Amino acid sequence: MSSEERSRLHPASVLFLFLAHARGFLMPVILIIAFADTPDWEVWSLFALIPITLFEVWNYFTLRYWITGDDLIVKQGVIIREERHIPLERIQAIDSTQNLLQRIFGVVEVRVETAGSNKPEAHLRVLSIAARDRLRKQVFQAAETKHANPETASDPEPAEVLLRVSPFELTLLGLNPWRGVAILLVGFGLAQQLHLFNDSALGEAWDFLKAIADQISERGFWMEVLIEFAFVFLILVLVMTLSIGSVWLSLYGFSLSRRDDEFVTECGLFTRHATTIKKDRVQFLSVQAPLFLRFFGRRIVMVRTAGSQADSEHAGTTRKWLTPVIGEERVEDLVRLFLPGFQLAEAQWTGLVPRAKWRMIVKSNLVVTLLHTPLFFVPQLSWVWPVTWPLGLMILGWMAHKRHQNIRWALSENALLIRDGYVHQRLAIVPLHRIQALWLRASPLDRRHGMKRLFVDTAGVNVRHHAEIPYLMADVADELVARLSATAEASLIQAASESEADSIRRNNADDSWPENTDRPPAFES
Amino acid sequence: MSATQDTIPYEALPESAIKLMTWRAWIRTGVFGLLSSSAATVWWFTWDDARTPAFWAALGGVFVPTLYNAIAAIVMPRLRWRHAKWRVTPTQIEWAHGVWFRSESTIPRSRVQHIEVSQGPLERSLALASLVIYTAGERMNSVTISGMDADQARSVRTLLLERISGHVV
Repeated sequence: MSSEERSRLHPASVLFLFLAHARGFLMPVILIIAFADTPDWEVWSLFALIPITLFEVWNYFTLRYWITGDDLIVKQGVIIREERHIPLERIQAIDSTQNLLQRIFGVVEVRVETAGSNKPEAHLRVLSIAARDRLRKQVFQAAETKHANPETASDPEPAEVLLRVSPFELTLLGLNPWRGVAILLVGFGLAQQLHLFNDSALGEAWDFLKAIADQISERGFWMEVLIEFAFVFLILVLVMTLSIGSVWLSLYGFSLSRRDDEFVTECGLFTRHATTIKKDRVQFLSVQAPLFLRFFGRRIVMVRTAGSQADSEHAGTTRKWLTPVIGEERVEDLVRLFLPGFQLAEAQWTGLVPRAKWRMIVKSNLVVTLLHTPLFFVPQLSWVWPVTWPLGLMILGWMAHKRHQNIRWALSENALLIRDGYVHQRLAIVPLHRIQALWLRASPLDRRHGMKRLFVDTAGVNVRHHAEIPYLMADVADELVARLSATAEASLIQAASESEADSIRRNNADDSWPENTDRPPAFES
Repeated sequence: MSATQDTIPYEALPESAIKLMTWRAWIRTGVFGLLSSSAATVWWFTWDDARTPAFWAALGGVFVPTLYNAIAAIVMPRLRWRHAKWRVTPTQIEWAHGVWFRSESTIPRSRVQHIEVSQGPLERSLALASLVIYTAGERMNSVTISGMDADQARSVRTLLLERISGHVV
């Protein structure tokens, strides 16, 4: 399956390459012209960078890519010719993003990702959608035909859409006010950076607010209260709008679809992201129930895959989502796609011992008290701590008590399940054959109570959710480690024999190493 | 879990590991003490009004940790040696260490990515070595057993490597 025909970038690439390269110096110029009085020579000197940029664009535009035999080859360069060979077997995903301008031109930015490198192996900016689909087809078919019989390697089945997230559901996701507060803070910081408020503007705003306040207070007490409430309400609306807007922006039209063993997520209002998750690369599933979503019976499901590092904005944001919102009742079905036979209802949960509860409550009390100690010594604030200290003790103590109830773990046939959290509840699902290492830790306090903390390590870094069980009794922890380690080893051998059977079916012997994808390549290109 | 697994005894580090830890602790103490005392000297001679409470507080601030380091250099190595133990069973590698915070790592043998035996000048002079076992994990992608007998470290490496190559068909 080699197509020696060399493909080139879409002609519109020139525009996008120029924009991408020029962003570095055009943005400051625009900002300075917009906000400063007169641009001086430093600004004009930035335009000297234009020829350099043009050369870079030309250099990039010489890019050609094609498939020969087992490799995807990407070649580029005017003076220094660079030719990169990417073994098709190592290609884990072909991701694409499309921003608004690119959508107008009908082109996409394509990243070819491999395991074991944290940068995309090849970055094609930009291709037409047809060219992207052709590349995808060629790469994955070529990789397939190497193993599969000719008849199974015919056209891949059309993708089956597993779920779509409606705008309403996304709005539920956006109800979390902290997201809006965070955006507000970032916006404020940005405005400060750009000196949008200078002293006089701030002073004027302050005077204006004061004038309004004076006017209000003249109208009597209740009017004042009413208007203050209205003000708070307005701020709340602003925060919510921002938060819902940001969710819509990044996740609008989210869909998860499947073609054989590949799962593709697509989302974005203006910039569309498409990401491929290969089934056998999933290391860890995380089901999360933040307070707001739980109230509506919804969950978040994220996956951790090997190889794809937290490549910030691009792969990171999309790859971690299996779905940003899903009804509670469908979670199990979704997990079952990756862990056949998964039954949440059948899990035999084990909780923590009562003594752990007292440790957790005492710990929360200590934290509250420590945070209050500075207040004890400030006479002007002497009215604050008698209120907040007991209140804090009670609320955090209660939360510790509830969290104690919620921390529980279960060992099913093929996975370790760990629940944790009270306000933000989450469930970690660790497939046993994905466990890389086990780690027990006992602090001096733990030892006094005969307890240990268990960490379960898997590969991959996308999800900020770690599998760990605190406050385990030492004997339970030891036994759990022994069982997990033994099962991990055994399940691997089983997986190995399964994939051996697979490879016999495929008439191919060099693929029987089951953890192929987990292992960084021996040589880094 | 088979019965044979539990009968495999834990191995302690060789006693010369205490020497290694002691040397390292004294070097650490010395470097810290030297740096902080030279900083104090510079302060003393560059500012006219060095004899302030701030100076004495700062001096105390470096003297106390140095003293602590020195005491730890005397007491801790033996304790750390006593709590450090490792073993390799047919299915897994175990390594436990730590005096205040006890830590026990378990790596299933099939998860070993690669193995490294490294020897610094101190370790070389004492015929010791560090065995570093790498996994594909995220948080604990390597486990270092420091202060092993050098020959033993190499033989453990060979043992573990056999298993790795045995798996790649």
